Amino acid sequence: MPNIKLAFVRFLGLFDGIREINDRYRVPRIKMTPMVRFSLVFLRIYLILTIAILIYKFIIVSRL
Amino acid sequence: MSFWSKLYYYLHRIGKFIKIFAMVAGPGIIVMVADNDAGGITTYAVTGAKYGYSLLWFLVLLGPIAYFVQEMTVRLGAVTKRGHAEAIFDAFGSFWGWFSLLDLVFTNFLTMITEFIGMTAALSIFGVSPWITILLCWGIMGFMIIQGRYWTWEKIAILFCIVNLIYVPAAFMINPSVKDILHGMIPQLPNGGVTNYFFFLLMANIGTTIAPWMVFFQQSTVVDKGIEEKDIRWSKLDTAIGAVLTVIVAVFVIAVTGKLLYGVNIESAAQAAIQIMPINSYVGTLIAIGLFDAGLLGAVCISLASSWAFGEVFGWAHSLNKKVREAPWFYAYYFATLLLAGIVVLIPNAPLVLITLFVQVAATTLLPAALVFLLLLLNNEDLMGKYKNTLFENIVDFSIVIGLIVISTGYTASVVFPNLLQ
Repeated sequence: MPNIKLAFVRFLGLFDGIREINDRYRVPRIKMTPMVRFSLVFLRIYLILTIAILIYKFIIVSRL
Repeated sequence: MSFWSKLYYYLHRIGKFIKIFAMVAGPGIIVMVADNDAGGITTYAVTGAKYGYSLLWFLVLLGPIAYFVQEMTVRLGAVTKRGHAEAIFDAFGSFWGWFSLLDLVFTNFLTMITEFIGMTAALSIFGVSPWITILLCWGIMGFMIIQGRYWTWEKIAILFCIVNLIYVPAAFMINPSVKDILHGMIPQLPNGGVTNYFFFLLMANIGTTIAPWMVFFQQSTVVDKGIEEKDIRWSKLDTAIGAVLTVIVAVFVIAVTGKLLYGVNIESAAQAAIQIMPINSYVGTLIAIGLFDAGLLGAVCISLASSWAFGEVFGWAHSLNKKVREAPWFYAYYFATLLLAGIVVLIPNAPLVLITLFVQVAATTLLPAALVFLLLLLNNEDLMGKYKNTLFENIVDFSIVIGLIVISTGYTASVVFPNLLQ
């Protein structure tokens, strides 16, 4: 029983870990040049479009 | 200086170079050969059966492309001493960090399943049941890393890389036409022109040659092995040799299926082995052994890529030089993915073919994100100092990323408008 409790506590500790990671990396450290800004905006648009289409394709193929 | 003195001096120098190279080599060769995983061998086999030798030029082209992408991870790892996941979190913040990590975990897990599919299919040709194959794989993969020494793992992985070259003797046994193979090296469109399926195969070939897990994996191995800035040129050579090997394997797989199965509809490398058995049982056997080896090598590397990435971000101990009790979460994650991927393959009626097809395309579509981060990091002077990208490297690397984005977008268009390229 103590082992299960310990494992459970450690598992819950993962969420604290995630919070800590978010705090540690809250601010991007790369210099935000126009090139970096443009690349990140482009990437967001590209990924939203392609992931949406892949999910759509996956659902369609799964139904067949 | 006399002739003999000069000769001694040069031989001594060459011996020293070989010794240094042997110390540094490993990550590049392993990542590039592991890139020819079960999915990769399947993709090459299907490409050969569908289009013969007419897409060989494309695979040869993918070799240098893979090299240029991977050598960036060498420099980044050697200079920053950080894995790729940690580098993205640090440079671009938690949003892009989590995106990259979850993207890696998702595609890696699906890819792991395809490795197990390949391995079970390969050994089923010899009458081995999937249960036994999966237990065998778990045993080998566990043994490889449980030693607590990076060097031991690397030596075993190199051994698997050598077995991956089994397709070379297989091709020689069927005497393919050298003239036809050389003709295939000239850029051309295959019979039937540009269709959705052609695009799909192009994407699958790109997805298997350049994959996000490779970027994460090589950078982490460079860090774990302790490669430093002074070793970069040797590490680049290691990567270049790996790129050559990956192309050789791809070309020889296509040489086999392009000659023996041209025009035959196959869906996997295991099917190719089964179809070839009645024609030449030795070649069929070699293809099946190669497929098992490819799946094993791929599964080990992909699972490690995820474990390293998680270890870096969560701050867990994450090194193959640590024992299980010193890095419990690192090993727990590694074994958990192995167990889960193996179990999925054993589930009756699981959509395995669909997963296999989806994973290569998903990896290719998500690849530009990994490459854009890599490029931005390699152009950051504060981070890279004198090792940042040169003008020539930027021209090549940007061309690669733009080319990949164009092909990915082309595929997307072919999904939205299915009749566009018929």
